Amino acid sequence: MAAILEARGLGKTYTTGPEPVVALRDFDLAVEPGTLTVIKGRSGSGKTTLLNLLGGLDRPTTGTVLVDGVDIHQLSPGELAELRRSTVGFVFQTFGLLPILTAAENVEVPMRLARADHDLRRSRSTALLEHVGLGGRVKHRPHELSGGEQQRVAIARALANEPKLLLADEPTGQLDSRTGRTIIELIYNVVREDGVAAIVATHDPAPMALADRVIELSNGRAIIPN
Amino acid sequence: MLLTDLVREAFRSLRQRPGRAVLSALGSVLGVATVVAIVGLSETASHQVTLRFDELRATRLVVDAASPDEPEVLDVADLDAIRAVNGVTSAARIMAMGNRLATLVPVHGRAISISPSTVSLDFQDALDVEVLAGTLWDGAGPESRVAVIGETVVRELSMGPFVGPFELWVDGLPVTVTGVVRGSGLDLGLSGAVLVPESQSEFWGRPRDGSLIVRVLPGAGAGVGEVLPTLIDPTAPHKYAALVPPEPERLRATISGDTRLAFIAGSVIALLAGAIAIATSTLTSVVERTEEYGLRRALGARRADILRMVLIETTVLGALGGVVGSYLGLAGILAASLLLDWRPIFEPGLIPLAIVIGSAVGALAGLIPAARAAGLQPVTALRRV
Repeated sequence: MAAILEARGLGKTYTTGPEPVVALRDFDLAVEPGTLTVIKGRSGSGKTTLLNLLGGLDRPTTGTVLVDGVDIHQLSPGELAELRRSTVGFVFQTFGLLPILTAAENVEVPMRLARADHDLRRSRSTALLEHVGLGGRVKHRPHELSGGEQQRVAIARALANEPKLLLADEPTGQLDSRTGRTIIELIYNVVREDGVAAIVATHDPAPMALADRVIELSNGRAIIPN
Repeated sequence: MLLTDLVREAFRSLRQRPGRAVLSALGSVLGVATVVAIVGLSETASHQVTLRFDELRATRLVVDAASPDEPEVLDVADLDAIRAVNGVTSAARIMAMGNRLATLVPVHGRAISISPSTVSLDFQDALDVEVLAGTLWDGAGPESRVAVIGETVVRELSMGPFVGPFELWVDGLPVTVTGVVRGSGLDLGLSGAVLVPESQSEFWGRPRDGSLIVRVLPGAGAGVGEVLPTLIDPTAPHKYAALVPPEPERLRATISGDTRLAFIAGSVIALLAGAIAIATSTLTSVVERTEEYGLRRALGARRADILRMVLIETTVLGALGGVVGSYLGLAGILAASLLLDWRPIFEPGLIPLAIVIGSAVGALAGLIPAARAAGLQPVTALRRV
């Protein structure tokens, strides 16, 4: 099956401080639709940097990222925004929900950005919240939800525009192990049922068992298993 | 994003931080209130001036010589006979004299020379003259040469406050200045005049211009005006023209010009202050919401979406400030009018205009914060998520 995402020779060096810091070096990856890839590694190993580069939030120092065959770092800022709207879904460690909006409205945000029709937005956000087990929490604000529920809303939001790629940065980092497991299972189900390619960065060992591929990062370099 | 979504989110966002919203809107409220109050008060003041002029014009008649070359025909008018006419309350004669100049010498600066005008008894009431300092020359005989001067003359002489009688000189002879007067709204040039008693008219020579000013009861002007020429000279009534005094256009234009200038200056300052208040508060808000903008950018927001989001928020804030400010300004007009016993004038179109002005101020104030928010790099902003 053709890869939805390919990274070739990806590297990132930060030069803002007195000394250049190499956050990622010479990283290769190919991800097919319907697969779960786990990037594991300690804090500071380069996981977040990698996800930012794969999602078009940051530009690499070396290498390329191809999404659907398109080198995303050759795109204009407007085209990159379009890519993030339509092809990539993000899940963050701290959920990143907007406190002024209800759960359904938070799920609607990417659809609003895509200027989707109001009725379509409403029905899809409701369906997505039901899909993640929050059918009864549609009108709740983030502060009225538990951590696990907030992360479910964030996953529903990431799926709002039917992305091909789901990037989750420490999605269980703020949750207890039991809730974390349910979140990983939810991502796994999305991968299996919707054919989304998911890349989860984590130092939690729980997702490894469900992953199609596990890549360990250490000091910005992928450790090839023996 | 669609405009409706942007507006809805702007209201939500403002409701989320009511304290900041109120503080931000305060600038716009005060700015718009000041504009509304200034416009309304200038309208009210202008109307008040018009009322005053209309009142003066409704109760005054001016009788001139039909031929400007023969002002002396007015000398024959018997003022007591005019005062006896039904509807007349007072009458006076003012004649500009042409032969001698009154020279006033200030302590410092250049001397000025003015042709004096003689005025008859009863002139204070008929001409609506106000004595600002000193006294008039009540009871002065033909031998005692006295005068009063207009307030403009005092200013031209830079003589400071009038502290007591002083001398002016006419052909080497002293004339005692007993007071300072201000003319009424009638455009008779009294403020820049040297007025002397009519009893001394022989000393001053031949008149070059003149008028009879007749004060009448409201509504009596037309009837009195008809009989006056015949009363003055039954043999030659055609030598006289009785008119309603001309409207002092120049004075009105000055007042209107002054108020317009004050309006423009006051409004610009008030609105600038309002815009700065909104801009400062919104800049702080942009810093606080950095992660939110980063998050939206990560979810696919265009720079234009962020730009419009901030701009609409400040515009909504400005518009709300405009609504509150226009009513506050209206209250200011009512309060000032009550205090001064004026009739308040308020143009209803000012309220929508004030809201538009408030919105424009908000939009203008939002430009810099919006550009800053839209320029945030998502990866930088997201480091805080």
